[in-house]
Amino acid sequence: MTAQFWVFLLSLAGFCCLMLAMPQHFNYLTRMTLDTPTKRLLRSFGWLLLIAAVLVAMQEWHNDIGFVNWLGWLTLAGLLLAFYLPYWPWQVKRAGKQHKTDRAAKTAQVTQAEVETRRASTWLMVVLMLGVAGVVGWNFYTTPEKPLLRDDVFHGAVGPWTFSFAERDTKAPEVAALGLGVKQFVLRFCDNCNAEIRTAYLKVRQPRTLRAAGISFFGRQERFAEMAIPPAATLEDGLWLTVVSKSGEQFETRMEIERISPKMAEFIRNQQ
Amino acid sequence: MKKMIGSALLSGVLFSTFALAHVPVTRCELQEADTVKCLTRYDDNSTATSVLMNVYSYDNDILQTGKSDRKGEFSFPLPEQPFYLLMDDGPGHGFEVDWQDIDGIDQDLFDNRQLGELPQSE
Repeated sequence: MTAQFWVFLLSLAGFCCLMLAMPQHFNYLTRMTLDTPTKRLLRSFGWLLLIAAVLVAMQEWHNDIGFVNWLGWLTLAGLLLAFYLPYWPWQVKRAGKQHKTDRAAKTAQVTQAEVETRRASTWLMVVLMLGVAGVVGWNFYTTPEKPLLRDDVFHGAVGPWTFSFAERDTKAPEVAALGLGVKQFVLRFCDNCNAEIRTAYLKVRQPRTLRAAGISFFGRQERFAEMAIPPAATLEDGLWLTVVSKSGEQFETRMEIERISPKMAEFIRNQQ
Repeated sequence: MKKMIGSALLSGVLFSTFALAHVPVTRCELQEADTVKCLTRYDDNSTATSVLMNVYSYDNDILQTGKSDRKGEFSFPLPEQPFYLLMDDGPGHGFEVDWQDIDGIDQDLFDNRQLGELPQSE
């Protein structure tokens, strides 16, 4: 919560500095003329504050979420400043009227060309807005269902724990380096038992030791793993899930490749 | 300056989405003189150098040990028993090559040897 406040405050302060680096606003607020060194100082300080805000956000919520969070606060700070500025006491008194007369004078002189330019820019804006709506809509339409909510999710048990398991997408394995197929999987343990589990591993063929138990899942609730398929794998080898508890107990279970991923099974049949 | 800051931020966003682990992969081929040559890579085809490579028997005894070199290569003499090679890039970050995964190997190699040796010993 405090971090949210700091991100907002730093963003706002950053924007205020950037605003002050503009001659007219500086003039309105301080009644002084902005000289080049002060302008540079304010501008760099403003940017530094914005960078500080994003760093705080990334420190708190990691790079991805932190960045988006910062953009959110940045928007709010920017909008607040942009809409509040015209009502700033000094500005209203000293510049408000002048602005209006300026505008009136300008409107009187509007030429045919200017009208057309404005019309064109309005249309451009409309098209851009519709474009944004279109992109959002398309993404909403094409975003796949969460793997563990699909109908083909596999519910199983390993040792004392139950789990849900699914391939991340139902496509064929991607052919990666050295011609090996790579497939991604998602795993989720029962909510009550998740905290008891240290690590889960996945591999084709039964592991011979824990060291060779395959690739480990990462993530806390919904775990994710990306696994390469051995070139001589057969469907009989099966997909093996090895789970190690926090107290060191170790359990394993075999899943049918065909049941988990028909496309992976097809890939393995074609490899032979 | 503005462009630089912009591109720095943009690259920050772009690269943060690629923070997924890359998958270690190994592919081996049987060479002449009963040598197995392996290439070690990550799935994005980058070279996996200095990765611990251990060859184990099926009873988990270490038969050979070494590291992949700067070119992402590792060679070892073909063991005389069924074995597997573990590309060990840290716990939970490895790839196993069973002897049957080796390109150009006779899939009945160890069956034949066992059968072939029996009459000699009698």
